[in-house]
Amino acid sequence: MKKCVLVVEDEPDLRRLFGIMLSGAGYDVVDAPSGERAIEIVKESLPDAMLLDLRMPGVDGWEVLARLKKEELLESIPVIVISAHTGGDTAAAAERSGASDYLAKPVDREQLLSAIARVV
Amino acid sequence: MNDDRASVLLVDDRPNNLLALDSILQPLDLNIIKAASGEEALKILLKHDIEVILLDVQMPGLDGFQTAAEIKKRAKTRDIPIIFLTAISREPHQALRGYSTGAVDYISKPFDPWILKAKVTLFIDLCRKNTLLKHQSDLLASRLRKLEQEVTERKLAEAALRRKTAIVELVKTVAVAANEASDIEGAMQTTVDAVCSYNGWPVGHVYLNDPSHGHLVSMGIWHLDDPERYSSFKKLTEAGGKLEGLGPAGAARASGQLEWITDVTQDPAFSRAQEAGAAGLRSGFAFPLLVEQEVVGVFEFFAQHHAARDESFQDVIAPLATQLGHAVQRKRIEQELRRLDVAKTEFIGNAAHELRTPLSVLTGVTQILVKQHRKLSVKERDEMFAMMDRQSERMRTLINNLLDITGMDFGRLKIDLRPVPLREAVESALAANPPPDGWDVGTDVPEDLKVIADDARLDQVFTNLIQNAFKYGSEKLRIEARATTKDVRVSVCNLGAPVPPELVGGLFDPFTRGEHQAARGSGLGLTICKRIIEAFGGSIWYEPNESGGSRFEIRLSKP
Repeated sequence: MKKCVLVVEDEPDLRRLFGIMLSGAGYDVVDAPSGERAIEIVKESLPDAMLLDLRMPGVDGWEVLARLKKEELLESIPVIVISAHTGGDTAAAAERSGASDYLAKPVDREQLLSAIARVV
Repeated sequence: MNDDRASVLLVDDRPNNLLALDSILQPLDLNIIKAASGEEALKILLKHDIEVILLDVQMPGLDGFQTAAEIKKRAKTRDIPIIFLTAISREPHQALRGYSTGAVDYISKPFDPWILKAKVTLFIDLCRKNTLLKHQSDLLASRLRKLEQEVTERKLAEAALRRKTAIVELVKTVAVAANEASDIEGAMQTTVDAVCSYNGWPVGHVYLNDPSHGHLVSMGIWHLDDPERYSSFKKLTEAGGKLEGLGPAGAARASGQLEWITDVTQDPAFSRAQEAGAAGLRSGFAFPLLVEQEVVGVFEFFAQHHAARDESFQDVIAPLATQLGHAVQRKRIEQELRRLDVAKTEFIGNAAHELRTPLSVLTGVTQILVKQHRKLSVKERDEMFAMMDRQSERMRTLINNLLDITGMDFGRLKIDLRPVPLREAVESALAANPPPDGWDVGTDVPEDLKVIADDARLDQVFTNLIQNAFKYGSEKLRIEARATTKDVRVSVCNLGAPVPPELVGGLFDPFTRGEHQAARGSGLGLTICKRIIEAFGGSIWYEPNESGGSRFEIRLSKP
């Protein structure tokens, strides 16, 4: 059975792009354009992993992460966060918040696929 | 009569007697003037300077004594010696007693020529000595006056010098403070203290002119000789009040000049009159702190006494205000530079961030096309190309905008101002930017209306506003224009959600941008619009539309 990945990204082209990269590598892909939608969808689809943009309007990636970690059912879903900030501070903060891995924009396809492969 | 000979007046009604007197006096080499009556003698005395008068006592008309009485009445002739000529049988001594000075004598007829000559010579000598004495005394008096005047002048000069020195000291103190004080407040405190110590006034205070609220606000900077005495006056001042109640300070703010009020307690335009009176304050003056013609602050001073308006204060105050003005201006420039530096750093950061998104997409697309093109469906491949097209276009626009903005920042916005037909400009921008499906687009622009603008740049503004309306608004777009007496107003308004209140303040700043799911803007469009419109000499502002949505108002000049 194919593993399912949820892509949360507000920029439509990037969202679609991550989708194509992942589906090309054999994953089922669901996506959400915002933090609010992500929280709804994650409960419906219970994905095997989540690719999460940290910087989004409204409910941002940090808040999504915080909410997931509060719920027993969702808490174990591995989350790979994406950020435009390349500083080590962001990576460390993401790890403290429960993220499994950290990718900097622009995201390299190989890195993305190997990061996902490591957690599913 | 310019010769040096003494003038003698002979008065007798009998020509023979006059002739006889003349011949007796001839050897003395005198200027002899003759009069045949008392009346004639008085007339001659009006015109001539006479040193001795020989006066016959017995004459018809005015007799000798009456004539002498007239002569003694007049200041000019009072001191001229008179020798009465009397008949021998008479006793003139009684008549002569009335005359106090020794300058009166008599001689009895028939007179001895030698005695007559001796008496005349004696009196002339006496008169000349008197004149000399008087002259010397006058000279002495005039020298004394001159000396007194010189002393007075010297004293005044010394006072002026002391005053000038004090002013120089005052200006120097303030100049040093203005240059060295790390804050403007410090320099102002020094100024208030220095002015109070210069003119000996007990109360000085500084107001800040707050242009955004249109009134003066106490800066809390005071000089008070006796803080306890003025505490309630100070408290009232700092509590603030209406501008019209500020007395001299309010007047100085309005006029931009030194303003003086001899008695502030009698000034109906001074709301603190009662407290000022209670603290014993009477006169007040204020002067504005000007920076490039703008009143940035006002200094006010109060005295315990009635002081008449002193124009010379202007000479004292003007250089102080100039020094402080420079300091304030320098401070402002420093702050502006710091602000610009922060803004520039922020701008670069934002620009890099904005460029990263299209770059991320383009990198991703490239990697997919290189690494997994065999697995792509036709639909996916078309999507990839569409993304490349879209994101490279976005990058191009962003870079153009960035270049525009930085060019404008350095004042390099190239514009060619000329009358532009407004209706054509609006219609051409609308034609180039067709509305999404379902939009109702309408214009109301008078056909002959022209504005001063650069047509290509004006098109850029309309394009930006129209695209924003389609991006952030819904259903309906209206572009309307009308001429007012002074200028032309254009409004671009759309229905839908208004600009969120938190964005309105910085709406025209770079990278302020509405969130939109499908099409995020660069956040530079309105900044560019504003700079362009301002380069036209116009202005642009935002207001929420009454029926929902947004309204951008533009003011442009008429040709």
